[in-house]
Amino acid sequence: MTEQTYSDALRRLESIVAELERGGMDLETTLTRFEEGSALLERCQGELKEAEGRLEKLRLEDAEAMVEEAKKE
Amino acid sequence: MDGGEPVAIGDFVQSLRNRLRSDERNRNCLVRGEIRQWKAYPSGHTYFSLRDDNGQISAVIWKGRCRIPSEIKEGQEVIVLGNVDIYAGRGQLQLIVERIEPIRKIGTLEQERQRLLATLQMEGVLDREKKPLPLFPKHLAIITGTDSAALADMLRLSETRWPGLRRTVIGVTVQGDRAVEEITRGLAVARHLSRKEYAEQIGIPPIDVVIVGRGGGSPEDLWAFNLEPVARALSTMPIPVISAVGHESDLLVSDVVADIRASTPSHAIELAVPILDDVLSLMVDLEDRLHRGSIRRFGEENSRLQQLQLRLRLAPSKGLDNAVRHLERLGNDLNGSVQSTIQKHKQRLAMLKGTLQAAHPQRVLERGYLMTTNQKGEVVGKVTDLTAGETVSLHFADGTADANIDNIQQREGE
Repeated sequence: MTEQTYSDALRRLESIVAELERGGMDLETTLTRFEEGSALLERCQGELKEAEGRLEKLRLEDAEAMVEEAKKE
Repeated sequence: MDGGEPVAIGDFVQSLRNRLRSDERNRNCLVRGEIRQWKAYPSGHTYFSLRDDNGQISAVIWKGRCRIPSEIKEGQEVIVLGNVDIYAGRGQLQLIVERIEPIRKIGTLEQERQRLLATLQMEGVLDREKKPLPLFPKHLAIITGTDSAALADMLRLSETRWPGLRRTVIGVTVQGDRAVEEITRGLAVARHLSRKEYAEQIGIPPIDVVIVGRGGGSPEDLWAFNLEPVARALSTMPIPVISAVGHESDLLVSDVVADIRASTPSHAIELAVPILDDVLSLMVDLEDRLHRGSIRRFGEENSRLQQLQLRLRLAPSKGLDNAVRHLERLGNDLNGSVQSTIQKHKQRLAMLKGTLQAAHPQRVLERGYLMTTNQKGEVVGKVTDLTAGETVSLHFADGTADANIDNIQQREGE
């Protein structure tokens, strides 16, 4: 499976919500969709948290040293 | 020879020098020419010649006297501001340089830019599929001058839109001869840190959006963004890059090569960083709708179940009533049909009786018809069954009589 991006997840979530709002699905599908939707929602909310972080101001040399550090391991 | 006593050469040159220097026209001369024999001495002084097709003059830049732009090199055409002097030791005419600037051949550069654009176009670099921006960056990299006003604007604006957003600034020189190399290296850093495995090693989320740019300046100041190494680095970035150079009116090669062009650095932030509150309220709205949508369906299901339950509870008595009524109806129907069947049979019987009665031979004989039987008692139906001289019995309604047969006549065609 390819990695689903936030936008993919959001699109899927929106389509599930629209489907649920339209109604007319059987109970089992409704339940499955609801569960999928909840999982997507949780994922998206988690990603919002991931965007939280520090501001790093690096000189080019320090940034390059950081890359070297990452490559080393 | 006229003119009195000969003058010592040293004095002569010195006096020439004084005359030369006292003339205002020999001060702050602005001249143009090509650099030859450029030589910077360990002492810090730099000597060279300035020439064109029609002439030449020696020139010197005293140590620390003026800034020497990096483009200055052998063969470079320059503009020099200086004072005319004579180097007495050699009697050499000299230009003492106060300022030196390379003549930037923007015409040639522009030609190179056009050539680069044409090459990139031909290679399909400009038409390649541009990467779309994510809905929000989880790790935004900004490649620009560390102390620039453009950076301050970008940081302030992004903090307003998405407080606490993870950002990494990679400080580079954005103008001058080191700019191309540093911008390219900055992009390489961002490219590496966009890789999951590298980012994980140093415990950061991978960089997923890059803004590369600078504030406004002269065309020469922005020129690094028109050059091939920067264009190549931009075109091979695995994550979306926004080119944000100068003002709205500046269109650089980096702008057409990058995935997205922002007219200014602030504009780049507006493109890359959504307003957190908008995103949050979208999520809240979706969550709300997800729950309401399913709850409605569950509610529908629940009321359907309740309805079913009600019907089930009512079913026994209702069913019994129905059954009784059904049976009654069946009984009635049965009764009716039995009655009518009997009636029909009665009628039928009466009719049959009548017919039978009418068909009895006695009734026929009563009407004057005769029945003939032979000696064996068999009914004779046809003349062909008779033989001449035979004795037959004639049956009347009230008795019989014997008769002899003669003269048998069969009707023709029988």
